[in-house]
Amino acid sequence: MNTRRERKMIRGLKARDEDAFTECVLTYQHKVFNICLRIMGDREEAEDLAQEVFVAVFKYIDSFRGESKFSTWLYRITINRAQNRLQYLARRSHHLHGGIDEPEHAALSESPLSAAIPRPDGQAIGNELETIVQEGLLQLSEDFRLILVLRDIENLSYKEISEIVELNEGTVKSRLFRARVALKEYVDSRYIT
Amino acid sequence: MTHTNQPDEDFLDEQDALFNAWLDGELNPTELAAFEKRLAQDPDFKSAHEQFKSIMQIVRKIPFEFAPDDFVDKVQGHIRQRSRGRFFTDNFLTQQRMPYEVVALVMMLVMAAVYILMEAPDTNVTPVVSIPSLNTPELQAPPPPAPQE
Repeated sequence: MNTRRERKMIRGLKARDEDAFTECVLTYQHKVFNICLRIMGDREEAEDLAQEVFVAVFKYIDSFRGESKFSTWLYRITINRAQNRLQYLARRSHHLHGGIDEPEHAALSESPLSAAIPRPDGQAIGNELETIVQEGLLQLSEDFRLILVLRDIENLSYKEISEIVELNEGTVKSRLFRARVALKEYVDSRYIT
Repeated sequence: MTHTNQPDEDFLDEQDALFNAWLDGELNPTELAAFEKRLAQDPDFKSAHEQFKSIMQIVRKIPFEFAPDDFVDKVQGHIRQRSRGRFFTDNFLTQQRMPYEVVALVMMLVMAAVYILMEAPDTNVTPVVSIPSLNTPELQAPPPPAPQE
């Protein structure tokens, strides 16, 4: 399942070999960072989160038994950490703002980071739809956003996604479809031609 | 829904389900033909499809972002800090860098020392080859030939 090079790297990681760890970070840093960025929507948060992921790899590598691809295991850590971080930010935001409004649509939620997103007003018309789509992504509830990011941005297969999020493929598809519909509805509500 | 690999489409209207199936390439040839026929005949369906398509194109074209250049160092720093130096300890020879000014000064001192040593007169050394004098007979010019009568 894992290539010979990966198996060697994993053995090195389990022996706490620095070179193996450096190779692991160099190989996966951009992919992990990009997933973190698309889920968190903020570079600084994404960088912190990606660092946490690799620290967790170093810490918990002994629990990797080779039953799945190393990348699947790594992305599972990434998604779990991202969910924890989003929940923490949501709780903090709730405490700070009193948590008065529930989202109208189950698939849409107020992202704790959404305040950082620039509004489309003043953007060039050509970029307006793009801005709204990116904003809409961050408005999706975390379960939907994670799957949309993995499928439509990272281009992973349903099988890989179902292994990463530990759900069956049918549930993954349902969530993805709902996420796409929610995104479309969000854009409909914001983008008036 | 009995098959776990199929999405639960109860919540989706028929149009959304069709768009999703189209996007994932899951329409069989008959369904695809019907889909295209409907696109050609139904302007509302076509307009909704165009919008769905453009949104998904934007999502799929979101640019890939790279981790910062110092990412590896930062992760190693975290591990060093959390393991209290048990892992990824600083290696003085590889981590500590001497400022260029200090290196330049040391080099200048070394070169000056070498220069001084080379220039210093050494009275104990005897020349291996004696310097020829211009007055030695071998080096004197031969007498000019006698003029021929």
